[in-house]
Amino acid sequence: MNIEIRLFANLAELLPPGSKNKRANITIEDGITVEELMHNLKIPPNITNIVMVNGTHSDKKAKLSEGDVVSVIPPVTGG
Amino acid sequence: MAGGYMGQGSAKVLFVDLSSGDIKEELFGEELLRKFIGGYGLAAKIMYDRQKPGVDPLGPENMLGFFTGPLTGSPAIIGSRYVVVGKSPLTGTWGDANSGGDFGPALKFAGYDGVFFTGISKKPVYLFIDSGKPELLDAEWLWGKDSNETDDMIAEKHGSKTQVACIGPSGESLSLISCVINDKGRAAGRSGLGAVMGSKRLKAIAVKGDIEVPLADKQQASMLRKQYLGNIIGFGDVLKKYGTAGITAGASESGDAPVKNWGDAGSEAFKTAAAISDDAVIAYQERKYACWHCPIACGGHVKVSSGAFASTGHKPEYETLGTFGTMCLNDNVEAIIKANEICNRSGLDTISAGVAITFAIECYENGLITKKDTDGIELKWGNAEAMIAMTEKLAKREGFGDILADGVKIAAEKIGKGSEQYAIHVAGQELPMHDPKFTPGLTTTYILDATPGRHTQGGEMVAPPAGIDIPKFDRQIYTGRAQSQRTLVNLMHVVNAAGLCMFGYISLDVNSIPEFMSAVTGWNYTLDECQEAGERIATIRHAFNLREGHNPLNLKVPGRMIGRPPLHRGPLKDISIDMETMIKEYLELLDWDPVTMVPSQKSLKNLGLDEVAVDLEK
Repeated sequence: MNIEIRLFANLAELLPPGSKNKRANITIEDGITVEELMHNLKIPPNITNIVMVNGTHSDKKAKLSEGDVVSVIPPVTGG
Repeated sequence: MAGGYMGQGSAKVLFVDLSSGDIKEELFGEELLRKFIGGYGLAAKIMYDRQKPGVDPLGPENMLGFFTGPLTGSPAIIGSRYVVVGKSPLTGTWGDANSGGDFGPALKFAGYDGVFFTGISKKPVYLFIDSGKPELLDAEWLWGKDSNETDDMIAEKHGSKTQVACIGPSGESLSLISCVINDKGRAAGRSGLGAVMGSKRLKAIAVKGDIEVPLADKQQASMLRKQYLGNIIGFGDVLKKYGTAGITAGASESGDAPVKNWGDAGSEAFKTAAAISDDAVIAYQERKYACWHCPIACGGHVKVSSGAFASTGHKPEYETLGTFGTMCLNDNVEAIIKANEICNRSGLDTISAGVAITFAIECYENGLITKKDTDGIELKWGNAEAMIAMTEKLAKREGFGDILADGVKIAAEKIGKGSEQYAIHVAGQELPMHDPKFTPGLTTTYILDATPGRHTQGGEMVAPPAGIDIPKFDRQIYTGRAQSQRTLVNLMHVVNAAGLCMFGYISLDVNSIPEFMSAVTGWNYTLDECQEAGERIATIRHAFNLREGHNPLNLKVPGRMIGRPPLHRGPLKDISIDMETMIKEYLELLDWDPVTMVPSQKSLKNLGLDEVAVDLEK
């Protein structure tokens, strides 16, 4: 199935080559969880990244569906 | 011999009476320093003892201080900070503001840990300190100049190694959202202390010297620095590449960043956050820079070469990208770079200034003010040209800009017509770009810190430092958070008082704090002692406020801050913060009265604040 993945700040480096605007449309296995997707994208698992699905804060265990927009934001703060 | 302080084991503080021109030195010894560390801890203790309650913040009796900490100018990571302190004319409370760059260490290399000013000079002056020799010099030739010009002119006169902290025209015109600028673009932004400096006709402090900061164990301090330099990863990587500009798009996505004057949140509300974030900002960066001896180097110099917003100056920080970006629904990054430069040169806090512009936009969009009021400027959401035109007017106190130049609380009082609903502040201080509906502990910090409405005063953050066991809370559970909040607040006060940058604190193991403190001062600090000092510092700042008649529980908290009513869409949809439970539990834990906010006698004595215990018992 196809989803949109958005990776922010330094995580954007993990997007497929050629991705623009910190996002990419990718094809993934049906029914995988956010956590499995993050593993596949090699996002470091030990960091408490902020995870969102379709603009809403989500648990990493959530199963994904066709057309979902997944956002992963590193735990950074600004001044 | 103890290290970290410039008075041979004591803090050496200059006291300058601007009315008489007298300059004196005083030393503050180990007993006081172990209790209050330095920075705004030591400054708050001195002001609590010497300044009576009720003074006019813009009058001669208000003390204005510039203070470093024992780790400023040391091998500690990151020992670059200093603070400005005084009673705030913006909030009527204790005021402090924190800045980086080179000025803080330079003040120590010039021979002093801190400087206090009292009185009002008959004519504009600046304080010049060269290697332990202070003198008050005429500043009429500088009065009216912006902060860049002031810095350049002083450096031309005294040499290029002179470091300057100054006010621009906004401080001179007593704008209550004016600030102190150093290094031509670092800002001690908050609390309106630029106006205090302007009220004293003090244009600048200029310092130079090569006096070494004594280190009790230089070898250990250097070893610790080497050890911890390799540990700055994660958040430090984002800062190294982008500065705080790196977080803007993510903050807009997650709900951390308020959108449209706190009236909205998330990517549906502001679709083009990528245009004012990370790569889009550093596309204009000509070079990076670091504050004194900082290994991260989150600073940068940017240039917009041509067009309506051509300018050159410092890279905007996240807060500025929020207040002039997500808040105004503006995705023109060149305009934000221009706004940043206007504010820096004029000496304006970009948080307060941007929020003031946003407030004006919402008033305009709702018909409370018209083009006739705004001198023909169409203040609409996303209108970058209008945003810049009004910022320029605010900086000059010109036309409608004069209404905005003292912050949103006063602007709303002047406009009336129900405009106060659009004035998003706590106790008069405009809120920063971190939504407590996303990070609930900020509710407590924004309301209860002695400087209301600030995000750099500790408590829950998006991520805590390593080496400390902070549970991960469900965002919408408001009970059981008090202990974590207390730990993180106390640690941040020590970080601030010691002269450390919070970005080092977040990037490293928290045990680095007592380790560096011990190596530099020679006093054997533990993490517990640091935490206790932090709580003592928080409490004495709070006691200052109690004597001023300030009770945070009486503050009007903007409904938009806490989700009353809740947002109808986005990542923070339906969230209303149970502020009352969070505050109640926090006060219980601290043993502060839940109505008067007076700390118990027992808690004050446990902290060694016996003099405060006596005062507050009266």
